[in-house]
Amino acid sequence: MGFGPMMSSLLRNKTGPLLVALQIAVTLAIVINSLFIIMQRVEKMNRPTGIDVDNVIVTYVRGFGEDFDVVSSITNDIDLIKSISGVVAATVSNHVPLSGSGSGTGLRAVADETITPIGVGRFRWSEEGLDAMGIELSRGRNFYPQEVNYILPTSENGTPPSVLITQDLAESLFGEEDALGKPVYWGDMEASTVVGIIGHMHGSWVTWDKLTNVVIQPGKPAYTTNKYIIRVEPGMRDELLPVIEQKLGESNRQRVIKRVSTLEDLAARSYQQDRGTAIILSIVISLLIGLTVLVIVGLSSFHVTQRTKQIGTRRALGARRIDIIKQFMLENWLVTTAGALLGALLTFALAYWLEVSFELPRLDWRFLPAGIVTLWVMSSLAAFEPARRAASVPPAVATRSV
Amino acid sequence: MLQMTQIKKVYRTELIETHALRELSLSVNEGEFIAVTGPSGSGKTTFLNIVGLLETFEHGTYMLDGKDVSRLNDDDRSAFRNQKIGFIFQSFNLIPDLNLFENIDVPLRYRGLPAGDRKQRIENALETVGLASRMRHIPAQLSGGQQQRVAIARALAGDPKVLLADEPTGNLDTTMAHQVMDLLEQIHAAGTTIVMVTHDPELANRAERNIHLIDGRVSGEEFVHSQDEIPQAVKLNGSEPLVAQL
Ligand SMILES: Nc1ncnc2c1ncn2[C@@H]1O[C@H](COP(=O)(O)OP(=O)(O)OP(=O)(O)O)[C@@H](O)[C@H]1O
Ligand SMILES: [Mg+2]
Repeated sequence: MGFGPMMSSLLRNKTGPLLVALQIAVTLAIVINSLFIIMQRVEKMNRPTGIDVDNVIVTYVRGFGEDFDVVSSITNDIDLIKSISGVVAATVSNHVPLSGSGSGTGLRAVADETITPIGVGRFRWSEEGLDAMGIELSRGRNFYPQEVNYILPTSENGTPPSVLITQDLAESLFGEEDALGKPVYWGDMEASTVVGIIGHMHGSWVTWDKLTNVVIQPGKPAYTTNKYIIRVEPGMRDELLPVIEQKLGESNRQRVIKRVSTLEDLAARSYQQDRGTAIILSIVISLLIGLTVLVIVGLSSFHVTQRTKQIGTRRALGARRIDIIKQFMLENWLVTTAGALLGALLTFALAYWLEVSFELPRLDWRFLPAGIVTLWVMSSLAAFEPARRAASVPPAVATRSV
Repeated sequence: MLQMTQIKKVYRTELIETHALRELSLSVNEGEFIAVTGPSGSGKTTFLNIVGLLETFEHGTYMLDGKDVSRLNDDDRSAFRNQKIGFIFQSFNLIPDLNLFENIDVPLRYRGLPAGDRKQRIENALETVGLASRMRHIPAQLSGGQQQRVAIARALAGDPKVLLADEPTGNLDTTMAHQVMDLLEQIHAAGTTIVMVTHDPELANRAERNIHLIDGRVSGEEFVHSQDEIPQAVKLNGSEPLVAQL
């Protein structure tokens, strides 16, 4: 059948095809926007962290008892950990990057309270901190051991003279200017000097837009709960994790090991919501696509059954099997394409609404042609079996059926 | 025009075999108008379907328009039907979603004719059946008799070698049946070979020859018209189109 007669035939029986076209349009809009969101989340989860996440173990320990000596406990623990073969470096730290728990502050490039400070994540760790996380210093120097002191909750520590900052923070503070050697000002207008620049690293809160603004002060935080960050030789993490737990447990009965886990696990927990969203949207997409395929198969099968006599007549009048297949495929293609056109409008409307209401990034328009092509393929596959069945209607149906 | 020798057709289901045609032999000359009669279940439709290449048969040979059509593949059979055969069905078999023009266009499109040629043929065919003014109507807007005339126009538009009709008046009242019969006679008079299955003896009498089927066999053959109307020579060798003699 030609294009013209097919259009008029479709227009004379609009309801079914119209509903299917609508279903296709809605599917396209939801699938494309969902896929876009999923891609965003996946990209977010796979951002480079600047940290050797795969080979880092994190231990949380907590001392108890009146005479618990936190400083010697930390010193002994770090020494013990480093004596385990396979351990590359270890530090005590106030917070664990990517873990969702951290502290933040504001920094300024000049001592002027009227300037809005730049938000940063703030860490304190020893001269082994960078090594313990596999973080690379791009310029300047690391802390000297003599700059690193124990920091007790009770003691007055003053402002550390030296800090490391990330490249992103350096640019936020100083723009094009070189940050190395420059002072940065804390909330109390005390200054520290930037001695080293870290090319790239993530701070504690993965959902924060200033995640890559990080300042590091030298120090060994000695609180009640202490966090040890330990880097091991590649591939040894899972093997060493229980060893570390056991050795720490045996060495000192005055503190409990609260948790030993991989940084990978901690980071995964921080991205739980993103992963959850991606999974739920994937399920929604799959169900929706499944449903749409069923609807297309359903409508096509219905058309075949409804038109058995018509098909027989067409065969009697000279249609080859391939002509019948073509007819059904073309008809399905027309409905799909009508749905896709409507769906394109819906897709952008939905994307606009998401962008405005939820501050989602703007939809990459290239998703649309990709979606439409996929839709064509999918809908053709869905319609093929019914079309094949139509083509197998024998021509004798023309004279045999009433 | 067409020669069948010892055609057999058996329908097999799991339980039974039905011998719909048993060694049927028959030949039809170009320009003849044949009526096929017989009791229900005697094989009339089966015979017509085999003549029209809608069904295959198991045994015997069938020559249509000088070609052995026993071993054509499915696509070739379609092409053959499309080019050589015009069908008229008891229940008209128009496509309800298409208007009259588009309905008649169906077989012409399968033949791949250019648009201008198709338009010409459709208009002529509708003219012949007296429905040219209704071209844009859909079948539901027509009476049964009119619908059957459209179906006849559809069969004619392709210039078939032979027109096959299975109870073409079966769904029509007497007046409309006569109109359709008049039309078929007119078409026959213009030179088209017609094979028509009918229950109605009166209609059968308007054909030139009656074939009576019983139980899948030709049980009787009768020349309806007098010998001077149908020259014996034409019936025997079919060398000249019948109309030429009239
Ligand atoms: N597809 C089929 N499967 C099995 N048997 C069939 C089939 N088609 C026809 N038959 C049988 O073949 C025989 C001949 O049928 P056919 O339709 O040719 O008869 P008919 O002369 O046209 O009858 P009617 O006057 O009722 O239309 C019948 O016994 C019928 O039941
Ligand atoms: Mg019959």
